[in-house]
Amino acid sequence: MIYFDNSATTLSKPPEVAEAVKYAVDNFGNAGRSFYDTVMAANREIYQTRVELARLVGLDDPLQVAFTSSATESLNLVIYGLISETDSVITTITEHNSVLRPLYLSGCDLDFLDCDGNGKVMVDSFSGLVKESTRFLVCTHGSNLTGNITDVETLHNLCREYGITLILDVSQTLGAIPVNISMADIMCFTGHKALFGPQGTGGVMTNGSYDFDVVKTGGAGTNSFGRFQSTDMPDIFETGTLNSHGIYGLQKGVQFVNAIGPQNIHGEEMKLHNLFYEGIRGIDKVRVYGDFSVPNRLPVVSLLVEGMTSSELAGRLWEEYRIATRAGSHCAPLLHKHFDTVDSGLVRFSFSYFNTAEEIKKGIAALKSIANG
Amino acid sequence: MDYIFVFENTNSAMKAEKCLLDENLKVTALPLPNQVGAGCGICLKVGQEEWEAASETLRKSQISGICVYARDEEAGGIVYRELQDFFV
Repeated sequence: MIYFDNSATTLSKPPEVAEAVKYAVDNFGNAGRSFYDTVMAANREIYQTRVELARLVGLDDPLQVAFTSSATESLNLVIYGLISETDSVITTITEHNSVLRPLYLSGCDLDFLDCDGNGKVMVDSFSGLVKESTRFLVCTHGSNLTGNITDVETLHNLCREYGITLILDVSQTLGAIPVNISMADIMCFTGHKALFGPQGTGGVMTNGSYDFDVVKTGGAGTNSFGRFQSTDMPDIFETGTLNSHGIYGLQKGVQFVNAIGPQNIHGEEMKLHNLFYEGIRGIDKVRVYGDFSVPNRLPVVSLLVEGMTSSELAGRLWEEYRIATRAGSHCAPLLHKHFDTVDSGLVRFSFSYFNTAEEIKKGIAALKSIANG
Repeated sequence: MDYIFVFENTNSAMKAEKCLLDENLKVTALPLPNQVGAGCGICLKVGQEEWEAASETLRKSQISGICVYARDEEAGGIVYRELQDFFV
């Protein structure tokens, strides 16, 4: 199999990740619930994972990193914890449903930043959307559909100017490109994509102090006779038994990223991306979606072959070539409407540090054969 | 006599333990004494010989809400005496 669905989850991971999970399953007690060796081993490795993540984003205090089960859970907890129906919120049409649906359900007043024809968020429109009641911008750092990077530096500067809190979804970017905590006020991340961690890991990182409403509550291991648990970071998001097994695996993934460096990882992945893009751009029937004019993008190429739906194309890539891609809507409904690809969907090729040039060449050859056949 | 550091939550305790271990100080995790607080959390114990360096390290750690108790074993059991306002 050739695996080109790394934006969904990275399949090849550093071997230390699975080894750590196995070790943790065999050796970790319930973190935060007692004091003996197996519990303290879990406590220490969970804390060390916070340290590694803080190092990755330049965060001074590792306790500003909270663990959840996924970026989706993180976004739900942050959005419901901060945003009410009296707030106005700006988001973009590039968002994943993990941003859109919690925002819809919150009842807030929503305004959308639009995109150009290549799916690039038009940040110049931001000021025109700001109202007196606008308190938050919730947006993705990198599109899971096009691989475009959002200009969050400009957006964050504008947010500061207007006193707006920027909640950034870094699901596709953390580990894949350099990400610094100064880019946003709150970041929601997943562990199983570019951080090479296990599925079931993710979290929230805060740049400062925020008055989150409690969304979930229960046992926390401390202050057991109080009616309410701590609302400090990271406790407010960590009710119940943490996934210490997965978090220890995530630590090894983040260590791998820190050792190589996101800039170097991005460089290697973009070599593969550029090889693929140059190989398929000339195929008559292939149309790509995204802004390929800038080097600062994610290693993602979404496309259609004329006369075929995405499911037909992805099906043939798998059946005939054992190439795994992602067909359909990618949980990005508004961007598909923008591209007028609701009916066809798109086929997304997403590459990883562990893919090879040989695999890319086989992918190009397969696409050429299908498109020209 | 020993000393125990008590924290607002386990995460702060783990941050403190890492700070102390990074300074090569000997520290032991213990269950939070019932006389001191409710719950199944932990506290950190240091001996007399580590006390000065440990308290200095934790003063610099920017961990909020640390309480400190002197821990004495007496005939009736272990007695904890809070060192008021130690970190103020």
